[in-house]
Amino acid sequence: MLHDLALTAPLLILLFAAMFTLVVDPFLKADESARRFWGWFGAAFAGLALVTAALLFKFGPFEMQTPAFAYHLSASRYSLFFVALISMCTLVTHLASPKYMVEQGVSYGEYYALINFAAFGMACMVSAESLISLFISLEIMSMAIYVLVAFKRTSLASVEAGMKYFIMGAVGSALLLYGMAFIYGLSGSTTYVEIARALIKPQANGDFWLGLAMLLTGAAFLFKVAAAPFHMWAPDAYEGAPTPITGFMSSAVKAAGFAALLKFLFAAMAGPAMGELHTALPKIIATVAVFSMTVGNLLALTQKNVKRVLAYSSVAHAGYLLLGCVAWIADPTLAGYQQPTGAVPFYLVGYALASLAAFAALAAVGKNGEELTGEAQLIGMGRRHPYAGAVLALAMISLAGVPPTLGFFGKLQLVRDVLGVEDSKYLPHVVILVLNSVVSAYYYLRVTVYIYMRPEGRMPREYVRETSLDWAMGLTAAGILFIGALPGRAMQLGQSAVESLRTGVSVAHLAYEQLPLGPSQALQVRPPVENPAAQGSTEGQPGDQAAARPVPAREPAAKDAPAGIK
Amino acid sequence: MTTIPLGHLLILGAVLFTIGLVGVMTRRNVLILLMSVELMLNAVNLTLVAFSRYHGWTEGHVLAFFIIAVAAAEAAVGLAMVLAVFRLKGSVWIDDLKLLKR
Repeated sequence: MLHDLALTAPLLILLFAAMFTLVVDPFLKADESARRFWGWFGAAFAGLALVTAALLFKFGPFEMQTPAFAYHLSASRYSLFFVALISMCTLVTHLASPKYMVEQGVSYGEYYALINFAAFGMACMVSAESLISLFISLEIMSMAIYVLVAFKRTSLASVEAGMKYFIMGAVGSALLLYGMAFIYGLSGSTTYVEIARALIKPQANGDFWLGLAMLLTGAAFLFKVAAAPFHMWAPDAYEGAPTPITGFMSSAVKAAGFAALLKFLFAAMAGPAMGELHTALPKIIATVAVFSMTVGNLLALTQKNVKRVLAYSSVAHAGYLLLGCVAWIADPTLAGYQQPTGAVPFYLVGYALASLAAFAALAAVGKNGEELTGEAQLIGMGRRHPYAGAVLALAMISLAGVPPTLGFFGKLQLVRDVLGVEDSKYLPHVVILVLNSVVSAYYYLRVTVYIYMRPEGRMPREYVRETSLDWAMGLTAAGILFIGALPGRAMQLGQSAVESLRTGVSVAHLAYEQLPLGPSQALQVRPPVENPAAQGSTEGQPGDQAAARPVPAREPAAKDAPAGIK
Repeated sequence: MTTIPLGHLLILGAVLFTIGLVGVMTRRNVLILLMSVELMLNAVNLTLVAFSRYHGWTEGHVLAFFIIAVAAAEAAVGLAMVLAVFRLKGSVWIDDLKLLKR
């Protein structure tokens, strides 16, 4: 028990920060300095979670790769890597927020609590080892983000964005759940380990039902990471949301979505479990990836608002990342996974830092309830706000993937990774990726041109410095440059995260075999009497769909074993 | 007492889910949209509970209970947003929300 708690320490720190803010805030005087305090407070706790996750990553006991909390959460290097990344995004978001929220006149303590709740949800999501914990953590995250998007409740744009995001998100959750219901129906379990083991048994029509389940869950995941064709919410939500939250959504939510998706594919839907689908799945994902990056980049070209440009660019980056995922699952037999490299986690770090920097810089300009995010409004930013202008330009260069920055190395690693699959089988996809990068350079560098190279500037001169915002921009810019200069170490970390996912899955399977009793059996309330009436009547009707439904019955062998996991 | 076969429950679940999905895509009143989403979630609940009974294990029930709790939270957030929109716009029709269209 204590062991479980120690392993989830970073998650608990984030949760504590959220609850503490929520409980104490009403008792503080409602003035600006109190709100600024919550920004620093949230940043400090996110930093603490980051350090804890890093320490566990480095020194953690590695029997912890076995799932904790009755097979519902785990702390492997994989999840800790992403918990650290999410904590970093949370830290920067907290630092970037106070000035913006005060300027917009919506500075309340709940805002900072909600950021921490969302971070807690994401951290749980990347640690999830079962469908139940995945769903709940996804909802904790989404619910907080819906409210955060609509947080400027006096601004119609913000509320409208929240409303649209909420409705689409709720449909996405329902699709995810329906897919989960079918996975549960096929496997009779909700934990990844048991699902992977149960699905190995071939079943009548299994591929069809599994395909349906994957279609539903896949759509929901693509929705969460804003990949085309499920990206419609992204531009509106990104534009309407408070700018620091837009940065949070494009960095942390995307990282959490990809981490959870990959873990789900790797741990639950792995290899033999997928039957015939395992050859089709990489091809489908590669097609979606190409579609997403092309749609995102082409639509970004036509946009005039930098927040919308970055929204479509985030759709394009979701496409690049999905292509990186192909390299992971291209050969998904549990034993014969090809050695995945850390390209996807590393790329996510680069993308998160760059988009956080861009949105922090955008949050720095704009006053009195007005945002200056139109491209024409940025004219003269380089002279009037040299610091913010430089950070925004650097972020754009990194997003475009120009060599000295982190974005370039992320893309390089990703391309090498994908080309390594089965004799460059995905070469055409990589060519499209490179062409897309060229297209994207146009609209990224266009922003830089507006910042520096237009003589007539209308950007307001007065700029109130805010220490926390300066830190937010400084940290992200330093990250882009420093990790960009020395990418080797970060790549290694990503690599060991990915490897731990792989060993984690096999360790979990081994540990599962040694248990006297599966975890779900411990939760069992009534003895599972086979229901001959139900089955008999189903089978008795030829042509009834239910007879064809490939639902495996559990073996009664393990049922009289002693209860309890530990 | 005869038992309802699994297939019937699943078909009912699928029908309810489809009604909900079609509702979300065709109706224009935000409140009806919220109701449609609830219908989808409850269709999932029905499916889960049916599978759970079929397997004779409780995990599906557990997930269904969590879904009920989350659906309640979702309704709270959704209605709060409807209120916020109504205050600013005086309307709960999704077609009136077009400020962000390019």
